[in-house]
Amino acid sequence: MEEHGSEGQRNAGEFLAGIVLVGFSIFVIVESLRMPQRGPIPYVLSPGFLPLLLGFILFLLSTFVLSEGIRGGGHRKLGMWLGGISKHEEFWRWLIILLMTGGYTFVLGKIPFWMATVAYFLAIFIYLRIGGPARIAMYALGFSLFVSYVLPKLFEMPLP
Amino acid sequence: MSWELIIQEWRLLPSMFLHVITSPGTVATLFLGTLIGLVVGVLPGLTIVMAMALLLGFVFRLPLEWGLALLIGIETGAQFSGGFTAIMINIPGTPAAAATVLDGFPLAKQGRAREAVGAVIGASFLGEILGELCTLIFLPFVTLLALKLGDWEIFLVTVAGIIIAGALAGKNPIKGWIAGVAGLLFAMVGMDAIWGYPRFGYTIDLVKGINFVPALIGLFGLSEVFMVLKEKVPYQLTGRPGRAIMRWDLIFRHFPTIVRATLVGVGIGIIPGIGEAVSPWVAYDWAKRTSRHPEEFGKGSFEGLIAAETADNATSGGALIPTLVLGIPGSGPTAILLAALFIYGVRPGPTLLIDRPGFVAFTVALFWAGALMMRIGAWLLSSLTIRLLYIQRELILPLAVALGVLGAWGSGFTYFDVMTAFAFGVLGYLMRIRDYPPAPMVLGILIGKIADTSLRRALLTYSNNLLSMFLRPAGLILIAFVIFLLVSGRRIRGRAVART
Amino acid sequence: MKHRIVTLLCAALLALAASTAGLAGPAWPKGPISVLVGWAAGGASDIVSRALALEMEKPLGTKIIVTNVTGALGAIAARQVLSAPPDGYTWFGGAAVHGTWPLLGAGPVSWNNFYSWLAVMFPTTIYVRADSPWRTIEDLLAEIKAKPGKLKYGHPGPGSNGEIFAGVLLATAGLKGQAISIPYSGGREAGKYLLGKEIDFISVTMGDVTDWAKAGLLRPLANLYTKPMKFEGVEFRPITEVFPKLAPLTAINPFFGIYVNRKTPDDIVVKITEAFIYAVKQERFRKIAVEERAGVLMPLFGIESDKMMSKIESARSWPLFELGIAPLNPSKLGIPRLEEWKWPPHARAEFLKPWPEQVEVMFRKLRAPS
Repeated sequence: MEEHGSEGQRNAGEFLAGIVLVGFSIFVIVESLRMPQRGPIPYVLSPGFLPLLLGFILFLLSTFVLSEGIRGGGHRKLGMWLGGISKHEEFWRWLIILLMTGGYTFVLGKIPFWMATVAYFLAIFIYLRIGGPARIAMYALGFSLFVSYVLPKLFEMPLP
Repeated sequence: MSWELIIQEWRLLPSMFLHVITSPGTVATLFLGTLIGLVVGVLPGLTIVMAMALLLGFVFRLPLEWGLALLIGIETGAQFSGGFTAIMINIPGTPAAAATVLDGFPLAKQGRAREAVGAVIGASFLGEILGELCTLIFLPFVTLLALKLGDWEIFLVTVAGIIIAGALAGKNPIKGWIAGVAGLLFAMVGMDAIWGYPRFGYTIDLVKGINFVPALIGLFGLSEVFMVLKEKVPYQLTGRPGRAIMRWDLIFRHFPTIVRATLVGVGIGIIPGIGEAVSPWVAYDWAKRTSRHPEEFGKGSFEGLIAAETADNATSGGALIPTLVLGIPGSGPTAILLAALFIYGVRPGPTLLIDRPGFVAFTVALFWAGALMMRIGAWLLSSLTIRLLYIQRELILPLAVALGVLGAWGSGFTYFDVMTAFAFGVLGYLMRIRDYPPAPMVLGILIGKIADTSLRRALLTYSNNLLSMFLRPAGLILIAFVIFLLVSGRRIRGRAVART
Repeated sequence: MKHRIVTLLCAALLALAASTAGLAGPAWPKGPISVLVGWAAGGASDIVSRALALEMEKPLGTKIIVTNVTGALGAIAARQVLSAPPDGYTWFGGAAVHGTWPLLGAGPVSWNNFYSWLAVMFPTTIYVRADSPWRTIEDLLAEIKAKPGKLKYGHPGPGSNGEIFAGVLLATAGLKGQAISIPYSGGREAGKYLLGKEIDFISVTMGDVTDWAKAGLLRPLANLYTKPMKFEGVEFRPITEVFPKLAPLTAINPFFGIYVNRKTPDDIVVKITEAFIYAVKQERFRKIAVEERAGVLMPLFGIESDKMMSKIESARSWPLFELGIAPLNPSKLGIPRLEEWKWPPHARAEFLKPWPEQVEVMFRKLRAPS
């Protein structure tokens, strides 16, 4: 959706991503400085050495992204952009599919794998309107059988 | 390593090849293996290593030649067919196929999926045959190089890999590098290999670290599903499904690219653990730099597709043969092959050439027979596989989700792995809408641990004389290469900015 | 229409349920057994577990499926085994390092939560390149003394048997910390770097590089064992010839076996023991797990395996803590030093659920002179 959005919206997104990345890199730098220092050259051989280095590189790269976002006026349009997202139909479709998939991964271990798989396929096929009820049931059951029975049997896999 | 032993293996190769293709049991198990490999490769979420590890128990019920044929069949089959999904549904089946996506999927969207699959069949076949041939011929040099390659050089290769993948995978190299660096950081989570310190180990699952298979499934698979299904009318592939179209003229025209990509595959294949993931990127980069049409790369260039696929498949030979004569596993699949050999009572290592003359030749012959069978089978079956992958996105992508969940579970048998896949799916989606390519991140997660261990171990080994580490000759060449990449990367970026 | 779908669904679910339900047969085992190996495919833990599983299938009359659940030195897999019902269908496989898990922050799970069947032990060996000037361990120690802090040694990883052996050996010779310790992922990789002349000696599991010793590339100097060994024509001198007081340290050598939840009923434990005894006697098992990897076949179960697990706990925990790898002091968990070890070592061992008496009898019979 962003590709069709205006320049301002693009910059607002850049700005937000830049903020998150800068925050993440600072977290990494602080955490890696807290790691123990050992060995003949303590600083360089600490387990935190490469994370620190990477955190620093990430910080530099993300300030670059952040500054481009600010230069484009992203920080001023951020509120408008965030408010506008919820009006997109695509956003809601994405959220529903995300919740279905998340629910699927979440219930594993609580109910048998095949049951979760059947439920997931039924839910998503109904939501995506792939056809009449017979078609939905056929595909959901066929796919479930394949994923939760045929493949695990073939590879002698234990199931959740 | 003496030359006579190697020459003996060369001489035995033709008769071994004949032996393989004339023993019905071996041919049958090899064929079964390639079929399983094809299934594993085409289904997103199932990986070669997982399939081989899970089938090990079954393999030991077979005699040595058959068991080996089955495992090698799976490897050649899956390695090749990972490219199918990369082209048709934009989800690389293996990390090595990540570079195949760059040009394969645009071609499919242009309605040229059948030609793209044909090109992959041809290029991967040549890559595999030439790769193994080169390795066998240069075996003494290859093993010597494998012994001489120190930690410092391995670290520099990982750096080069991230720089190249970051610069090539997306529109903006800065964002590609951010993704790559973040991937390296994710790999830092867990027990560090030098001191055993649990980095970012806030829970026991984090002490274990982030497994790369769920990350791959999330970043490539689930994020693609979210990306496509959020559209009210998801794209459908145009053009008619049918059998793959073999464009021999393309293969011939790009033969120099194939030779270069093979050399890259063989050369980088000897670096344990990172070879197969890095080599397609290096080959792709080289092809782009030498191409007469670099502007087509990333938009549907057959040359890029061929370079990536050739290097990917050439690496398997580069990884396997040193594994056999040194007994040190290079990649995930070769580690499983080694385990199988141990159980069969074949001990890989320098004594292999003396204890079991012809064994290396036999293995190469199996790979060749498998490669040949695979491509003929793939071409014959291609009308079916292409038709399957052509079906409505609303059907195939939910199936990909379920397979991804199964695959994430199968990679480590913990719920944490499944949750990791989902979390990376969401992250991958957010990255994509902001133009951060997921491929460098996957590469970073895959090679991060090796990069960290090799860097700090090199520093530890040379802690009383750091200068001599920087003066290692192979290291100097690699440093020059990295600097060249950085400088030319900036130039590419400069051009990109000028265009917009 | 709706009705038809519901019927269809029900039928399919029933079919699935029916296919997973077991059929009548012996009380145990009714279905396949799964072994979770805590280490990756291809390593010693994996190969020994697979070789055992392969032989135990026959006496148990069921399939044994081996899966690798890696991470946290096996603790992840062990936790999964303990969370499964204690019905004998889920085993843990691999190295006997259970005693170190609580120290490494992997939770309160340790050897006392399991019944252990130990099958094989691999000695730890110090190797140098065959072209090096050092012919005995005394030569090497003298060189370290002459050039303190200059020599480098490789070992299979932080806290591994190799690192502990070299560390304790240097300390015993009065050279504590006088050689640089460099960790690799596995003994074979350490051997590769030794051949590449990056390091001066290695302290690794003996069988990891015996073929290189046979090919005349490496020379073994000292073996962490109490008797001399000869393997493929190469002599391995025991370290106790030089330092007799290191004999109890053999408990840091890696032991491999299978383990089940200690809550498992007695009759199942007896059946597993029978199958285990059968397996370790098989020619194929001896060849894969013992001869090719230069192991010492040492079947242990019953109270004797508990004692060994506890000795391993002492032998590994203290060096891990002193090397700075384990953050927790072992004395906080009541773990005695190896020199002060006695049975029972701590409260956790005192109130253990005992092994079935039948198993103890089987062990005495196995150990009886044959």
